[in-house]
Amino acid sequence: MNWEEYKGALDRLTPPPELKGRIQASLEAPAPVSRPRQRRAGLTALAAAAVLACTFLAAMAASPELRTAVLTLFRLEEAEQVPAPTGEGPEQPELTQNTISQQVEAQYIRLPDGFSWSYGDNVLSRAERADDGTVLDFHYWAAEGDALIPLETRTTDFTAVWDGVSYTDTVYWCNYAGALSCYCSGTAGMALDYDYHVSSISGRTDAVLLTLSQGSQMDYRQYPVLLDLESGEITDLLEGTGWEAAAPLTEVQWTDDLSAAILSSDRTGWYYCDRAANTTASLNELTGLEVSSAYLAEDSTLILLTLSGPQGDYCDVWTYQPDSGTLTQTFSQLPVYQRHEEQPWGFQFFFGGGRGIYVAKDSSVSVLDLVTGETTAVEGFTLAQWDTPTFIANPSGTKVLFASYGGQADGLGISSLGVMDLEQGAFTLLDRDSDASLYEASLGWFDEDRVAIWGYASEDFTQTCLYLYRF
Amino acid sequence: MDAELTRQFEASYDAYGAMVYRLAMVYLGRTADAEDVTQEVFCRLLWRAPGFADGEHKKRWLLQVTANLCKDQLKGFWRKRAAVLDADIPAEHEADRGVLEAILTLPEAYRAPIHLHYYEGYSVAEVAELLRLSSSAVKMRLKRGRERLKLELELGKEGSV
Repeated sequence: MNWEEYKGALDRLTPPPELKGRIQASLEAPAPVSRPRQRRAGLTALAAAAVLACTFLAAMAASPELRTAVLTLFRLEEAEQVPAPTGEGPEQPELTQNTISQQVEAQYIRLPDGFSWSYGDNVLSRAERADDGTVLDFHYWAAEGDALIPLETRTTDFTAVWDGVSYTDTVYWCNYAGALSCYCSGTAGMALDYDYHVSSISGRTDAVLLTLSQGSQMDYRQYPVLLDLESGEITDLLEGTGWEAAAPLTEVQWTDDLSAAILSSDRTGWYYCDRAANTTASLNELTGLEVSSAYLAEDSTLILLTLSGPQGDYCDVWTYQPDSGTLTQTFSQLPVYQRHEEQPWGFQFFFGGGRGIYVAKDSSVSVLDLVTGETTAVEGFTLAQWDTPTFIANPSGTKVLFASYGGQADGLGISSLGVMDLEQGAFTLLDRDSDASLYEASLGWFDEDRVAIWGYASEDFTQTCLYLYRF
Repeated sequence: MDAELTRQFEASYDAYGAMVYRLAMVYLGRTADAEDVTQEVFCRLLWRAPGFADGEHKKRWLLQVTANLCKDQLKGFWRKRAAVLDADIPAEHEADRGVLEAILTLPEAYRAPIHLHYYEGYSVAEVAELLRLSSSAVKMRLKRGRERLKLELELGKEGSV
């Protein structure tokens, strides 16, 4: 690439003409608060997962009478001395283990340079690519104790056709500890007018969901099919269900047994699809509500959110049982969370397990169960002292990760890390000491129990490391 | 919003809107995210900005706020796990698309220094101040980012590192 190409491409990168008017309209309101516009649901698997997991933020009024349990805070006396990757990178992934205050098990993994690493679903993975981005090979490892165990990678070739486009590729997958991990690079950001991705299905090791998509922005639409990993056979999951009422689909959420799904579309709203009954119906019509967002809880209960107030400043939370038609309100009039305020307070929704975090105006913290309406207070803990705290629920919603940042280092610079165990009633909090030689780039759950921090040597971004913590 | 504020917004947006949006795109790679950040930046400009000594001061403030908001977004859970390109990068020419994709494959730490130095024309020291980095860190990131981009500067734009 030469300078003219770089400059020319950036010169031609201009905001859409309507953005100016949209900002101007948002400035008409008197209060100096941010009003992020509603974004379209997922373009990619990760984006879709993100929409499900993290993007809905709301707030609620304090309701002490609802508190039925407490989480006890255990702040560990010993701080973690975070190791930084030094020296040459290893030729194979290397793992060392540490136990902090006899409470937190840490696994520090250093990764060889020059590969495309990722993690998720309980495994570490590496793609080997050709210069054009084509995946040449794919490897999986499990992190057990003080060892990294190579896993067998299997492949399934597939061809699927949807709406005039033929999708042909290979899925790389492994079965570890009874759970499936899968990978398919799709068009890998090549900006074609179509894309696709795969995702595992809870409890299934024989098949994966393959989501086919076309178009972008307002023209984006997707369609889900099932891919059999042994035969490569494609099964249409929505045929005969009347899904066309919800078309064009922009997001699909399935029950674990794939017997039902929530279909959503930017243009037509939210629908419930019952595959067994071959029906698709608008959630507005089924419930009489004006549904703003809909999610599936673990037992196929639907969690519905509705907005009220002049600018959608409040939301109500409902549960809906499709079989019986029972509609129950679990929380009402929740003021919408303002994340950019000096002292943000409010309610943060997690898809996993139908849980949420509530920060009161006095900075005290509670965990909410949106299905039952129960509230669990975190005893002796307020957010006032923490800088830009993050809460992330694990996939099943049984644990909530807490992180706070020192603000001094490049990258995340995580200075405190903790896990709220909702089943054990404990919140264990670990302080971390690290020097500037570690650039922490990402934070999330490695699996149901382990927290993952992805980092680089800050002086040389070619050295990669993955740190795992079990609280 | 009164007429004076409207005039202020229009003047500022016309002068700096594209600049803010470009930096947000370089950081985030998604048009929807870049638009959100641009909106938030101009909301802050009107409601929360300090008094500016001059236009350059205002421009630097806008770039700094944009960078900070983008970093905030990148701290979000799904952004941390979504280190992939979005397919909705707008580019009328295929070559532009390739350039943008190449930029977005850079580690996040390299993108803003490259953009602010080579595109916006700020010196190493100024980039360091804008991004709150040391000059040596900026130099290192420019060098490595340029190497990764295979960016050739022979056409009249010489880097200072």
